Amino acid sequence: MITRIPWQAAVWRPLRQRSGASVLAIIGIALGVALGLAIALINMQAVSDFSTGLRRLSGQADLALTAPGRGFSEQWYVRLSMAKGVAVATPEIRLQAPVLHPASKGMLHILGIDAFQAARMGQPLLPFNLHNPLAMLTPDHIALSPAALAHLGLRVGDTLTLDADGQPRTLQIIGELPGMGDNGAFGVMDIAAVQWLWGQVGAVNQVDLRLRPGTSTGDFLARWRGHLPAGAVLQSPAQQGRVAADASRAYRVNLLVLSLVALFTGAFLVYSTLAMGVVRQRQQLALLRVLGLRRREVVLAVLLQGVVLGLPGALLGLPLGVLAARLALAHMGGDLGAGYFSATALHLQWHPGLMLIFFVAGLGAALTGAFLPAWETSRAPPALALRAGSEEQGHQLRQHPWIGLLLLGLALAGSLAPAIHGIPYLAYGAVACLLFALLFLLAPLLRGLPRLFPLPHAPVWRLALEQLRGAPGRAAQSLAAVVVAFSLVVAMAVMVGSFRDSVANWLTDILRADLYVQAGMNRDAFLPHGAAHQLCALPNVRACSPLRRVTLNLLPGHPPVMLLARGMNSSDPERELQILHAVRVGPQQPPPVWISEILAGISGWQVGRVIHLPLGGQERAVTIAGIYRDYAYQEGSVSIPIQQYRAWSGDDAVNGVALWLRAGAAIPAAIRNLRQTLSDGGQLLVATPKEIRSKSLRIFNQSFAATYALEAVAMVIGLLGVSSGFGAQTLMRRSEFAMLRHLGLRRRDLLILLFAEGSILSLLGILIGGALGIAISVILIEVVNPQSFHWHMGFHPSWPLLLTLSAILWLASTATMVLAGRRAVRQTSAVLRDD
Amino acid sequence: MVNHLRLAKLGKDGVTALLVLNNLAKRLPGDPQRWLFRNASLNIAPADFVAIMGESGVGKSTLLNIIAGLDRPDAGHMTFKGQPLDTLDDDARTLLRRRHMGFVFQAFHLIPQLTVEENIALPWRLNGLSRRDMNQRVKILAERLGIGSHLNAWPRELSGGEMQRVAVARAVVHRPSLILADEPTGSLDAESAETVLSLLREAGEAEGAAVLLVTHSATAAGWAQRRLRFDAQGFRFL
Repeated sequence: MITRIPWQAAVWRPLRQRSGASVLAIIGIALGVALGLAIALINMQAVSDFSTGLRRLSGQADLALTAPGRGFSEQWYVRLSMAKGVAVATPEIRLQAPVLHPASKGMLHILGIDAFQAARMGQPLLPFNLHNPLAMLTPDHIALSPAALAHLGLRVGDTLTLDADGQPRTLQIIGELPGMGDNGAFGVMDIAAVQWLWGQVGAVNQVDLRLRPGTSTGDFLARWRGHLPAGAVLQSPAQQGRVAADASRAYRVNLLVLSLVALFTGAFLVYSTLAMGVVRQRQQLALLRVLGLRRREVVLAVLLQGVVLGLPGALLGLPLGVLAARLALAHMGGDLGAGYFSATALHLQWHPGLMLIFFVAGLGAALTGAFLPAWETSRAPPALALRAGSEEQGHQLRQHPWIGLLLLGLALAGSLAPAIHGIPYLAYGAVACLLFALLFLLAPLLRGLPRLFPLPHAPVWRLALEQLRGAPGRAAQSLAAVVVAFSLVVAMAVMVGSFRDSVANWLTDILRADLYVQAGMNRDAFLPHGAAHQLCALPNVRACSPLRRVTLNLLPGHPPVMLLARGMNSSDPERELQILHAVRVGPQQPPPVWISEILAGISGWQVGRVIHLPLGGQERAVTIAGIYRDYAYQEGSVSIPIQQYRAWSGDDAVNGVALWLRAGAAIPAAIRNLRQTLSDGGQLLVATPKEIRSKSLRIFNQSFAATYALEAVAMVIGLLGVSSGFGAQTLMRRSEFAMLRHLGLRRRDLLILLFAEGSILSLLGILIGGALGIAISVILIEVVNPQSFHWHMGFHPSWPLLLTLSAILWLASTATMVLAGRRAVRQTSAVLRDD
Repeated sequence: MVNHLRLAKLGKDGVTALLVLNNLAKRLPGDPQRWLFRNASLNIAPADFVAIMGESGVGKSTLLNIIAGLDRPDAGHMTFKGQPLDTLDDDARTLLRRRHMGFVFQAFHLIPQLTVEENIALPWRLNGLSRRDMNQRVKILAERLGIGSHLNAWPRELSGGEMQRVAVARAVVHRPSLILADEPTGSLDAESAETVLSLLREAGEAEGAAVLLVTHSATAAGWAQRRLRFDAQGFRFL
């Protein structure tokens, strides 16, 4: 049937005639595909790198006993290696260490292994040196994976300085890890060296187990489940990888959806281009219907126009996407700055399946954009369409307000629905419904809104407003892509701005001390023994609050949460925390703890509930006395008075101290005093709340850099839509302009008319897009974020930013209308003759 | 009342006239209580040349649309080549139109992005006929219609008369049985109008096609074998 479609008459030449708009639509699709593919490639690469790395590190292990942070006694290794059914057991310590030299390289995963047991397990990680087979056992030796070497810019034989428990340690790189390929940036050291350098003598945090043939993993798990060290988890390496990947799943889905925004805008651009195009082509398509083209052949012809735009767009988007992914990986890392994966350079791999998916998505977006114009054109009565002056009827076909209202209803239902497997699919659907509703409501809105304004006396402005009232369908088509783009940009700007404001307010609220002292960049670094007491006893210190951070496995199938033992007063938790809900815990109840809203969201725990914390080798019952806001720990956190923690765990180490200075004490002098007081004072990180706040907000901006980039591209695609839509509109109206010229309007008057129309139209587009964007931002803030990340934020739109964006859009679209119009108002006499 | 103006002769095999309209009626769009026309009955034989005249707004073009299968009557029956059109769905009517009908309009309706040659060949292509024969056929027709030297020109480069000749060529290129011409001379000067009408008649005779001409012009109607007046009550002889 396709062969019967007059390709030249119905598909190719109409597009070629509108070559400017067609090229813009192709660019829109290409940008959409490129962004989507880039984000998906980076996500896939980061997760695959992470999980492949974990798998390789675990060799041929069937199970792994893991506990976060300082782990458990190495006696468990001995006990498990002698357990029934175990063929080989290998002890390990896994940690992350800040890289001090080379500078600005983030954290490096370090794996401490027992080389001899690891060889029995089949770990392919040992760089054997024939001349010195025991080199690996030397404490200041490390072997790095190829990815780590590449990321650090080092070679075998160079040295590397790491922050080991607050102390700089220079290590010599003795080899490259075999069998790792490009997967993961890791360093491997002897386990004893890691225990010694990182102050973990006698402890390990992972034991890999290979079971004897015939031993069932399920039976082994059942036998040991109730007899594991507190806070430890026994699971397969595959499960371990899944938990780690799941931790960032909502973030990755969110980013992918965001990246699809550009493709979505591209689809609207195709819609706009083809909707305007088929109106221009209306008489020709009607003629073809009269000459015997069937309805479905008309649909096919317009869909083929979509293919002609989508095919090169999607093809062009693929290399652009790979290029964008390479650039982003090189500059921002695998998590685009969000902190889910260690900041290491990843090598982009070839994913033909993914590229095929995005190629199809690009083509699909173009076909989706083409479908409505195709369908509605095919329904137009040919006899009516053949009449001159019936163009607006062609536009009006798209006005089905009831479908728009139905979609609004669906959007409301979707935004009230719960998440599915932790992902807010229905809320994303609600956003899509809101945007699609626009297609059907834009024309009625454009017809209704101008009626709110009185007709001006100035004839040209009056004519402009009458045009808009009389031909809302035409205006709606030229505005669709830009309203969508602008609404999405507004939504993202409001969401990110609200989040940033909420984080800033939260930081102001919780950073109440005058100075914060940290042992080092690593969260696990300790202050020297007794240092906290010394700091608290300094003459200019009025009060102090020590902080101890410990990671705990609290929820099966979830990554460990952070236990924050603080020098807090149980009766006044608000001095340290931004409390959202609280209950009074009576003396007969288990002692109080406070959990973050993220942990409450993940676990479903409410205030008043009794839970158990694995501390000091036992499960300790505690009562949830309150839920607090915490944007710092994405996996959730629990806060407990440090006295209680010490009583249960026997651990009196401290990672940091918050200090309140006496009135009048100068902060620079206080910092100097601190550094002089302690023997290793030079290594301490001392910061004021202001410094922490500004650094945190800098990191925030960095982690949303990808979002800003995506917003910018969506806006560019939207502006392409304005350019294409207004350009097409003015060309379609050449005969009208010619007639006005005959009636006595000067060229200048026509340009003023176009300026008036452009400015009124773009103002209305900004109003409608802005309102839609704010509605979408409410869904993002109130539904998508809590469902994805379990945190809430206030609603703080940045009006200056929104006004600036509106002004840019207004200027750009009005200028486009006038520029496009200049061409249309030339040679008007010839146009009228042709007509 | 059946208002047969001329009954077509029945052939031996029982095939009736090319087109039979039997008491067709159409209501006014937007006012279903009132009739635009009623009792429109007409038989057209192959190679007939019939002119229909009438005032503006009586439904002449609507009648042509109904005959072309682009619109449906509100009452009455219609057959084309013995096949009842009322029972056909849109696809079948479209295929019938594609194969057996040609059109000439007052506004020419040439496709501006196609050359003269491509415009003429359009119905041929739509019917999926042989490409080799197409080129020859288009050339012969163009020569016959006096536009042979314009085959590679764009419609915008032609005069009104030339454009309408292209439209006539397009209407007959696929050898239709019926040519529907809606005010084909309405936009032309007298000389061009005469040329177009003579070509239309010649083309009809040469190809064996019936021509149904809707016009306001008595001069144009004079070229037809039969002239009918059309109004709200149907057809009358002139």
